[in-house]
Amino acid sequence: METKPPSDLPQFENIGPPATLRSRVRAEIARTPAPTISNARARMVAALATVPVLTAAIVLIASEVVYGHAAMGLVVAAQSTSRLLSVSILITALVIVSTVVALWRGSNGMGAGVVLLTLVAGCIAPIYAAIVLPSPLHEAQAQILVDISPWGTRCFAIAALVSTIALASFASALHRAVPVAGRIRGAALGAAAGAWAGLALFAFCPSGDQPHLLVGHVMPIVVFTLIGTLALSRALRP
Amino acid sequence: MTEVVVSTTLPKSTDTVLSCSLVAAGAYFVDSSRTSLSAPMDAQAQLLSVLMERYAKGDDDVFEQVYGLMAPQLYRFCRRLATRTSEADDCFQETFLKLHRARATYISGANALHWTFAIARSVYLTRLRYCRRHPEEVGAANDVAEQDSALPADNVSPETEVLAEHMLDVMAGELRRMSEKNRSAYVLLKEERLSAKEAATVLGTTPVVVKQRAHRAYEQLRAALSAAGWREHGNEAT
Repeated sequence: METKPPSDLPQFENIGPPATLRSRVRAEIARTPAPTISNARARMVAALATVPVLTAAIVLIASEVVYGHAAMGLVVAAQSTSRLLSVSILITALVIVSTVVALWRGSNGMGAGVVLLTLVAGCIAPIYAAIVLPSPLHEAQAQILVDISPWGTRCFAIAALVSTIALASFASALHRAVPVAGRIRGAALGAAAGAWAGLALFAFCPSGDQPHLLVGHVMPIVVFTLIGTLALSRALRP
Repeated sequence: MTEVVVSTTLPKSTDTVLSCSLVAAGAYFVDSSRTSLSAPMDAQAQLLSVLMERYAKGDDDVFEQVYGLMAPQLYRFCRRLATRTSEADDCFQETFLKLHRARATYISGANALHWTFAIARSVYLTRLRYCRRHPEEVGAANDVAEQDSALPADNVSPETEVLAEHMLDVMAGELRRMSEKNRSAYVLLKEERLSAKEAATVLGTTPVVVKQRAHRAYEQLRAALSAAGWREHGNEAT
């Protein structure tokens, strides 16, 4: 649909801001300290470094405490090594893509477009579910080898911890940085944080039980997508 | 109803005089060719980008230049966005304050004016939400239309001058009445002369949606102006 050229409607005169407004603005700005560009870069670098390091630390410590072995999900009774590798690559790719899209500022400083953000916000949980649910990576017998929490409550708690750290780091990196599409960007950041939790659980949990996977592994992604939608919008706007 | 008003209010011969009078009364007709304006605008945008980059790095001395380049267009945008002059002034001031606080997040080379437009709209939407939660009686004394001062006209009759001012009142009133989404799309596309893609970036949506919103706003304005006795420039058959 093409709009008509603007030549046929009258437009208003250009009226500049009054001098009093200029002095008000100057006075307000003189009173307000503001960070410089290096702080913003430092926050972004810190976020990108913090999330993988803390996620790995949480997985290793939790797995050691709960199962007595580091990264139990990668060790116990996987159906095949090639499938373990392919699922690892898929989930890692999901994490990287969602993080890059959600955190990308673009050349204009307004971040990724709404279509891309909507795709990330809406597709991460279904894609993750499609990877882990239809044919679980671990054999059902794995559950008798280790003590897996029913309905994935323990996994949900670990996912919540990882997602909270990731979401806080991402929000800090984009704090007051993106003036448009706050809600959908918050949703994409929530989905990316959830994807990090999904990666952590993939390494942590050897369960092949579908209800467990649905509640403990997939549900946190959905929950944190919603949390991002509702909670981050204000923090992201300048 | 529209045709009756048109035929009884304005004779055909008043078209040209009315056009002159609209210009004299503070309105102007937009030149449909974008190329004539694009070159100086680009140079100004580049200069503003360089200055904004220095400002983002902490060089406070360039603020006056940034303000000087940005203020006229930003103020005009705020006045079209807000419905009252006082509200537009507050929006303008708050936008500069937020720009100052968020300067560290400015992306080098980005169009600083578009980024500031996005901040201004974010500020306005926040105020709008606040006003919806805390409704108050608003007088018409500070309406934008009443502040659009008329320039003296030498060669037009008082009747056409009054009629031209009336058209601007109609425009301002109709802009106030329409939805914020349609209004901001119309103002960015038709008054600030952004491309659909640029406007979509500022508004956090897609170019197609921006065009649709601007078209709706345009049709609404045209219908209101027609009902008030205005006829399209060059349309002698009406």
